[in-house]
Amino acid sequence: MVFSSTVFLFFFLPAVLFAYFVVPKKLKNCVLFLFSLIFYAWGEPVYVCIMLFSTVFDYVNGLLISHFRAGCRNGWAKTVLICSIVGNLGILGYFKYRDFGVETINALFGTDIPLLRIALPIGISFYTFQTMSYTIDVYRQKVSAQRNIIRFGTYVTMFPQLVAGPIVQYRDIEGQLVERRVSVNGFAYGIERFVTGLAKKVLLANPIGSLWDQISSGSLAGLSAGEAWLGAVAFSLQIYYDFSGYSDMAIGLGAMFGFRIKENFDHPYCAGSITEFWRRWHISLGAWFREYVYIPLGGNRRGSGRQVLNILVVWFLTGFWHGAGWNFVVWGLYFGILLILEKLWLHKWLAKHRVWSHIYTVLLVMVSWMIFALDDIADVRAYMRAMFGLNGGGLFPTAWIYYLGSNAVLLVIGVALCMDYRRWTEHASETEKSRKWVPVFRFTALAVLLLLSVAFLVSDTYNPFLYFRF
Amino acid sequence: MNKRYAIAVIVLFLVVVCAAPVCLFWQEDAEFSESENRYLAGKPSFSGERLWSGRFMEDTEKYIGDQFPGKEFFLSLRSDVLRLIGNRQINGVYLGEDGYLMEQWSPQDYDEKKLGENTEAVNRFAGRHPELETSVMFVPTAGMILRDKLPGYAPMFDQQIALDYVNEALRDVSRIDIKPLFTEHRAEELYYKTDHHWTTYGAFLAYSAWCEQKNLTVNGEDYETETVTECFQGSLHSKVLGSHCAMDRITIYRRKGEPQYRVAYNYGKTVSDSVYDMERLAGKDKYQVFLSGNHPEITITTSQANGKRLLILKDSYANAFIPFLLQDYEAIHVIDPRYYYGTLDEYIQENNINECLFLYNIRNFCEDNDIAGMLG
Repeated sequence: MVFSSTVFLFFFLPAVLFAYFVVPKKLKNCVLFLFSLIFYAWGEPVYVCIMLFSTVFDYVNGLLISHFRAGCRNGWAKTVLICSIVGNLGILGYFKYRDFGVETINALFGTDIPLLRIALPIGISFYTFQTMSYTIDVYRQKVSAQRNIIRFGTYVTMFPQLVAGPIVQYRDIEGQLVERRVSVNGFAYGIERFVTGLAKKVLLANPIGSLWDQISSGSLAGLSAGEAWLGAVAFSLQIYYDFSGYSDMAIGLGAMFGFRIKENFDHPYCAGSITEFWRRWHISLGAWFREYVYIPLGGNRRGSGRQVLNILVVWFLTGFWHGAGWNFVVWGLYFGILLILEKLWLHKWLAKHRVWSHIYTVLLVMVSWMIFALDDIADVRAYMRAMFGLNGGGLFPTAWIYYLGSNAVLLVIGVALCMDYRRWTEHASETEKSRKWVPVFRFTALAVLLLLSVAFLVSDTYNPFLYFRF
Repeated sequence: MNKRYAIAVIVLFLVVVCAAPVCLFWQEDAEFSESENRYLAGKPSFSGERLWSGRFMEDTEKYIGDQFPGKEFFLSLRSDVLRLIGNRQINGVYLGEDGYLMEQWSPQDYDEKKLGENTEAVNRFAGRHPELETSVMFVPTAGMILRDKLPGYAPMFDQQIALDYVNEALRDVSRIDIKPLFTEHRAEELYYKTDHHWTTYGAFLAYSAWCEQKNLTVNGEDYETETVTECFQGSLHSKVLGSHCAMDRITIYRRKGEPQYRVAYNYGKTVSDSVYDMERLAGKDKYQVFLSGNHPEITITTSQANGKRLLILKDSYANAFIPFLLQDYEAIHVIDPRYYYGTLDEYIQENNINECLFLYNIRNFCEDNDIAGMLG
């Protein structure tokens, strides 16, 4: 199930809220666990077993590690930890990367190993990373093992962040699994965040995404530079509003049940360098790789040669995590190389040139999204040629004028809402007038967003049949 | 956050998310959607097997999607908002000048291979039936003739490419090219604003081109016209919805001194004494006033005992055209390959057909999946 669907918004959500708030405190985790399973099984009735297996597997691993740690048998604890990591990566590898690996081998050696062509279980990249962070932290004795399997299951399967993150680390939520309360203000805050996220997804990401679809569905070799750049802008906005909207919805839903999920985005397109961009984009993923890959590899403590290597390893993996395809690897390494360049040389220049640094960041990120969006390397090349006018398409008035005219307002809104306005709003002093009118304004805005989101959501299922019924 | 605001937000949200399931529970399910022109999904049926395979969930989603309370209101709202912010294309339909809605036909959606197969099938058919006088008429869509009414620089497939292709590839058939005539009369109402079909006037122009080819005479003054409705909102309106759409008028042409005739649908299952079905004007798709919409087979017999027996293989564009042929033929047989499952060669023999016309909208002919199979 996804949040931006009528089934979720009008059936699942009221049902889970009702069940959650009527049951006594002791059963609240049970309700969440059960509904999370329904949430997952809705789209993946079979794959829910993999998630349940993953839950039980790491529940047991956590207990064993903590048991061996307590008995000072660290060798055994390490063995179980390795077993847990291998198990998690094995599941991920089998379902996400096996066919890619087989295709690569077939292409390299001319073999004909059959592909499995299995659908990727939803959210598998997220929950395997979450359970791994748990067993690693138990091993490092940063958290104690969870003895209550319902609590642990609630953590792994928690539906607000199950499908698309943020990646919630166990230690951030350990206490909340035992004790949390929902205040009226907290619940209303959750609604605000949820509705904002929903609006980002259905009012901005989807319509802007359809612009990208139109531009990218034709012959890429024949694109003019104008269309290519417009497409890049559209996709950059689409992926931002799609993903950050989803994170907003997750944070909002978490808040409705008393969880505090960490922010996952912080105005990434306002960044003045690629380094800063990645501190603001998908924060929970960057934090995960930093904590569980980069630092264990030695981080920056073993000289700059080793640091460069570590960065490349982390970004190879980050790219690969986003999808089983060469374009994702290229995309990850592209960022790895840029980050190295910034660390070694560019950071001083970027710090001095405020305006240029923003232009530099936005342009490089836009180019990166094209590598990300077009999953065929040949397509990426054709698109790059179009963007930089190498295919003779030029800037002559072609379809891009129509696309721009037809989507101008949407794009302007999209760009404007990427900006960070907190500088102005935070220092605005509260007056008698604002105390009275700000809530009215906020309420109206929220109601309008909700109404429009529902209208756009419902329209997605609209499917007129043009011809005769027979 | 003050408490009153917080409570107001909670109440608003809960009322909205609970309203839909409550309404869905209380309202009666609609069986058919006029505007979508299709049957709607009913309540999903439950079984262990359907649950495990995910069918139950799919059906539930379809059911909720189809029966969602106030769906048309929400659709129109979205369409109006998109238009308000300057969007010129909604659900694959361009919002053109003067209220013209025009179906988007992207260059990448043009499939020359399919068109080649369909054209070759017509060639084989004509080669196999030298006894028939076979002609073809391909009607360009509004997107070509009214190109200047499209939003500026809107991507649109150049239909001349497809028209040139068929002109080049067809053998042994006579071609009735209506494009010059349509281009000349483009300022007049050749197409509906809210429907993908041509108007009766457009069909009349096509008929005059046909007459020229067949050495017949036609004169506009021979016809009485009658406007049968002024509030037609057709298939393109169904796609777009929204309160900004225009209304079309449907006119029918009756020739003075029309011969007597009888229309038999689907091998005589239903019979009528008119090519117009006025009851259809009460429904949403008022274009069905012509020959009651599409049927697998229609036979029209007239009192003109001139021995001329015509077979028309066609799509829905022909429906507005056929009434003009009444005084020229003893019998007019109409077959819609999309719905016809008989053997064509036998049909031709049994009915002593001596002329044949392929009448298609060029886009339909490019994308048709049935004609090649039926022609053999």
